[in-house]
Amino acid sequence: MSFITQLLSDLRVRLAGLFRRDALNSRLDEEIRFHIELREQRLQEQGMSPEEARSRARLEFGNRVVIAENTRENWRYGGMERLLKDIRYALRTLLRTPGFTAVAVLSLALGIGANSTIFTVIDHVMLRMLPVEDPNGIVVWAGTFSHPRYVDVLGRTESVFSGLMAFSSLSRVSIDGSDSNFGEGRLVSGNYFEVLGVKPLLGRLITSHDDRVPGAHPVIVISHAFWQRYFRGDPSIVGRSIRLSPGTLTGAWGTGGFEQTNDPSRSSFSGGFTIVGVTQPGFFGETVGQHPDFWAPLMMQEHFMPGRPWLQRTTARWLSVIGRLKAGVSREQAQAAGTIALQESLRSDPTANQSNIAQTRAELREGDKGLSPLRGNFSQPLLILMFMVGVVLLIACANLANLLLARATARRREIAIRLAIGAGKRRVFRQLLTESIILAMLGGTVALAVAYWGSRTMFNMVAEGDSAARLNLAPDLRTLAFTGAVALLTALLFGLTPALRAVRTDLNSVLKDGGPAVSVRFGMARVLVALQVALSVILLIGTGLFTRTLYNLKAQDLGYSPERLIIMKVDPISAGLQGAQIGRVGKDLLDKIRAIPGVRSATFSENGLFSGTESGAPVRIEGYPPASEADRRVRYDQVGPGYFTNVGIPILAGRDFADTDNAANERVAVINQNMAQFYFADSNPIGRQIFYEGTARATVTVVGVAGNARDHSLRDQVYRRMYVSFMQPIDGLTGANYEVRTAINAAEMAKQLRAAVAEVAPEMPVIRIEPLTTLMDQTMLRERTIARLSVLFGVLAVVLASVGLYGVLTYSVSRRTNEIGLRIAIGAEPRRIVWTVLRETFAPVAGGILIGVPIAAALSRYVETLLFNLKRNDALTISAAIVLIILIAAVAGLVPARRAAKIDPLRALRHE
Amino acid sequence: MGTLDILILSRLARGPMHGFGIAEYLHEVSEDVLRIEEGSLYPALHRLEAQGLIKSKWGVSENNRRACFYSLTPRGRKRIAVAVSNWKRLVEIVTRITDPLAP
Repeated sequence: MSFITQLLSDLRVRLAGLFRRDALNSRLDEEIRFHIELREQRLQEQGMSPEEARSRARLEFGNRVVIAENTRENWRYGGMERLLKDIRYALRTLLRTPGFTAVAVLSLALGIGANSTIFTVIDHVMLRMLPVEDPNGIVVWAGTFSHPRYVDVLGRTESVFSGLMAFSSLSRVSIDGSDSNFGEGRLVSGNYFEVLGVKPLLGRLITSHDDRVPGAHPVIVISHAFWQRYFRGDPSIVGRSIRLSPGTLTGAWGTGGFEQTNDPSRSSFSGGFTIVGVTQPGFFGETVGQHPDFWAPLMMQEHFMPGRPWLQRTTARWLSVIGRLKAGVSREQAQAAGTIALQESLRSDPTANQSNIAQTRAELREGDKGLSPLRGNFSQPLLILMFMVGVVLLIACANLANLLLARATARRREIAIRLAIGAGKRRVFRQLLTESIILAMLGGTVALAVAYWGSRTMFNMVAEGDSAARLNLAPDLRTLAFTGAVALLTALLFGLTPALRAVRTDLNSVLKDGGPAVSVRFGMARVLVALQVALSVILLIGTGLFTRTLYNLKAQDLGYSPERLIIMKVDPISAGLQGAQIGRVGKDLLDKIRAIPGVRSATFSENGLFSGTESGAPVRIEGYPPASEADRRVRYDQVGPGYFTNVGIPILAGRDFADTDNAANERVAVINQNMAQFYFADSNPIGRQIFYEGTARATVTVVGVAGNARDHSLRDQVYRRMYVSFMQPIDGLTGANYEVRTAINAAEMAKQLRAAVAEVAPEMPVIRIEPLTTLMDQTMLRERTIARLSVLFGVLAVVLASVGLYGVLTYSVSRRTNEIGLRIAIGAEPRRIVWTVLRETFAPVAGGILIGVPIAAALSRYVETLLFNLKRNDALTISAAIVLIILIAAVAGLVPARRAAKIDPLRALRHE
Repeated sequence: MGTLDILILSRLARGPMHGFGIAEYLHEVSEDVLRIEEGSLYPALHRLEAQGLIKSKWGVSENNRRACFYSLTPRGRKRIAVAVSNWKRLVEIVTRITDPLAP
């Protein structure tokens, strides 16, 4: 405490001394004048003549100039000035050795920059609070709701929530009829903004008055960024109109199986929305990493998703729900109340499946940090990466400590002289530490640039394929504070020991000659090299595990070839197609595609391959008594004629679908090998019946058994799967994917496919056309990100460590020039010399490996869940890492070793 | 801590005073035995202020002139207490050693 007050008062006075020099000077003048005049007065009162008193007063006071000068001494060289002097001196010293400074700053910039990069991404994805009123009261209701269910539950939970709002994402909404200008948006309930507790910048926000009649509230609130971007910040924006045309819905499921109705309002409503307000800058809604351009009332849902009148459907679950807890209500209490409300709501609804209501639970999650599509998937990888960059920084620190130790040895004479002529040890210590801090700060500054570029690149990497994901990753105060703190900590870490060692020098021995103490320093250097090797081994093992995981995933056997297969997804429903029409248009389009030159084969499926949509339903099979509900569940897809032949999945028994498997004929199914074995064991499944008992009911006859195929995930097991003909749809068709095997390049084929769609069904939007390999890559996004970044950090670690090793050996060789020269002079062979030098690296490298491997083995427990087809202590990975580090150490050591062998003995000895 | 510092601090322990007043006090208590140049008081005062033992403030002197008044900071108060007790102990020891009649 007293230390701090002393520091503060010291700082205050010194600052005053630095900046208020004039004020202090005039104060001192006035004090002296006052003193002398008063003395004069006293002396006169004692009876002296004015002249006598005058000269006597001056005499007694002493030499004014000297006294003023002495007084000023107290202000000068105050802490602040001393610091400035230290900084100037340090900068001069650093500039005198630009090579050292560049290497130091660069390795620090990379080390600190990598940390700042990962921190920035972690901060945005995992740490930040939503920019809303009191984020702690926000809870996220896990799962999705239908609109009627949401409204019903809302009415039943008023005792625990001060508000419960619902929203759904809209992506690729065409703005003002443009083909290229798309916006991201939200459909929101009337209380959306009220629950979040935000205020508009201009106009008003959406309220419950905008949430009454379906289709009757064409108003939107736009984001600050969109206002700036699209309207150039026009202040008279409120009241303007903007045309928004349908986009595609993201993230809804369970919406199949309804008869579609034609909405009469479609033709009458032009899509003109009135802008009623602009949100505050910095507000982005409820999802971190997404920046909607506009918010529209839920009641406008069908305008954005034509042909899908979902507001009244209890089976269309398309809404996410977020609530704000009432004051004094805990999340657990709200969860209990929510469970009761949800169960009551389901019981009162005759269309709901009544069988498992008792198991239905409400799950409320903390919502203070908002939703994040990345958080769930990337939290663990980000923490692992944070650990890795921490290790990289430690290696960089060890490097710098080594460099500084070497430098301190080179500067021993200088330091000894400074100590000898009376600079205090503390002063010299502070001077040396200042140098380290300046290095770290320079490194930190460059690190900010690295982080700026790095966090963007990295975010784009993890948010790949998610066009709505955008983060403002410009370095802000938080990144700045983190970088500054890390830089300072780094400086202490690498600077403290060398500085302490430097001032502990024995003056006499140094000043007399070069002095010994080299072995001491070198011992420390060896420890640091061992540490670097240990840390590098840990990172290399991690890198090996992640790369091999990615490799194993890529090497997975799909059961068919993914090469030259293009998947086109279209949306027949928003084109206004219904029921059997979808199948008819689908068949027409399929025929058209097959006729395109360069198409080897083409087929159709509802869910597509690696496309993200999946269907599942319970089945009943005669003669098979299910042990549990889970045993009844199969995945299924509705596919086109020749599906298996065209995709390349082998038919093991029976036949593929044919053009004749249509509405006129018996319903048939093909099942995969897993399903055949599970339900029919050794008996022949062909000709057996399967009773489909999902939202619709149907009986199908098995006509074929297909090989197991991986079609949605590389990581998951192959599920029991059943295929039916899309011309005999069980559950209606909600999507349409075309699998096209092509002989020409993908871009050219995409053009042709679009043309085919435009010809057969011009109204039908093409959602995407991608090679299957691209879609597969997207499912491996997490693995690819970790593998890529860990390779990057592993390489960085190894480079830094080998620079460290190289530096230590080079230094050692230069110290031993005489000895080596002598050895060569008396006839040592160059090879022996190389060996002698290299041998020095054995102990630290071996030590590092012995320390690093067990630590890596212990740490691998934390990455086990991320690995695939790989044991966490995979022997191959560990031995590869060991071999690699030995090779790298040998290469890093060979350069100085060969240099040693080339020492000219004559010159070396004359040097003495 | 030098003798001058101790003298200055012990004067300020009685209350705030300007430089001239402190000089007068030094003359008084030392009965002019301690002959120092009065001016050498000022470097000491400024040094003590820089050390945070005393602080300065403009005030009005008894003859109605603007003057810089010094007073003790809490740290200065603590320091002088310690210094005085050390001093007393030293004096006691020296007296004991130099007094032939002491036991």
